[in-house]
Amino acid sequence: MAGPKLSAADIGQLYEQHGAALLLYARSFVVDAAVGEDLVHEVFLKLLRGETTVPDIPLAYLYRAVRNAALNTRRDRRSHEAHDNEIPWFQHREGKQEEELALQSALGELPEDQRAIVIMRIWGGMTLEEVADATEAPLSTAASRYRYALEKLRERLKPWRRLT
Amino acid sequence: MDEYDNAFESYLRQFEPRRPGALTHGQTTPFLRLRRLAAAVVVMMFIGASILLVRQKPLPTGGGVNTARFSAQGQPASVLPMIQLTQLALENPTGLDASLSEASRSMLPDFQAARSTLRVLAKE
Repeated sequence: MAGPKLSAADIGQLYEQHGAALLLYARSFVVDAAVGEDLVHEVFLKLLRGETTVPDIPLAYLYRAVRNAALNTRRDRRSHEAHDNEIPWFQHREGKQEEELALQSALGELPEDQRAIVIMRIWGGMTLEEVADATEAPLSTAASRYRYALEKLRERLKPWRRLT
Repeated sequence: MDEYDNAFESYLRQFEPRRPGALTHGQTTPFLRLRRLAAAVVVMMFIGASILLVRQKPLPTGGGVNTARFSAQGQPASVLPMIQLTQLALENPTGLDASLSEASRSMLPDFQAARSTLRVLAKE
């Protein structure tokens, strides 16, 4: 269902609040940082140009749009994926680079549906209800996927957490 | 969601995903630039092909009486070859008249070419 048209200020605010999580989400599909950033920009630029109408829940739309764009790009650029990411996905507040990479690796190994939910919930700040809507899954399914994902991440990051 | 999960969530939030660059309204992404470039290349190829086709089209050589450039319907008319006309005039003058009459129904006189019908008639 299409909601009211967003103003440029609204779109700017969405970008400010969720751009980083959306970029992380994009980069979980396409490893190249610049490509991921272009994807996110493209989605927001379409909104700014009024080329698309936004449903009632813009966040769900944004994640879906980024995912679709990322999958299209990944299909077109499969041969280029060897140029891996020199720029890590994360920046730890205290500069723990090994942990940054460990988390990146652990997150990248999650199944796509679990990874998406973790990104939306942890870094996108979405409620599980919003996540369920964005992923078009029942709330119970979204919740159980989230628990599974957290468990796997916890297991993978255990060595580093012991040190802290 | 229990305390155990909350603690781990807090731990994960210590890792901040990198922020994308600033977004400006007039910005074009490489994808957009690529699309525009591709569109420009297609247009240029179309124009180039059109020019080549026009150049390759054979022009009238002046070897015939250019009685007309365009027919009454506005379509380019064929040029009557001089050799054929001469041959026809020698062998069958009646046929020449009939042929010219037939051609004149669908052709208009050429007023511009150096060897146009009107110029030829004026010289005679």
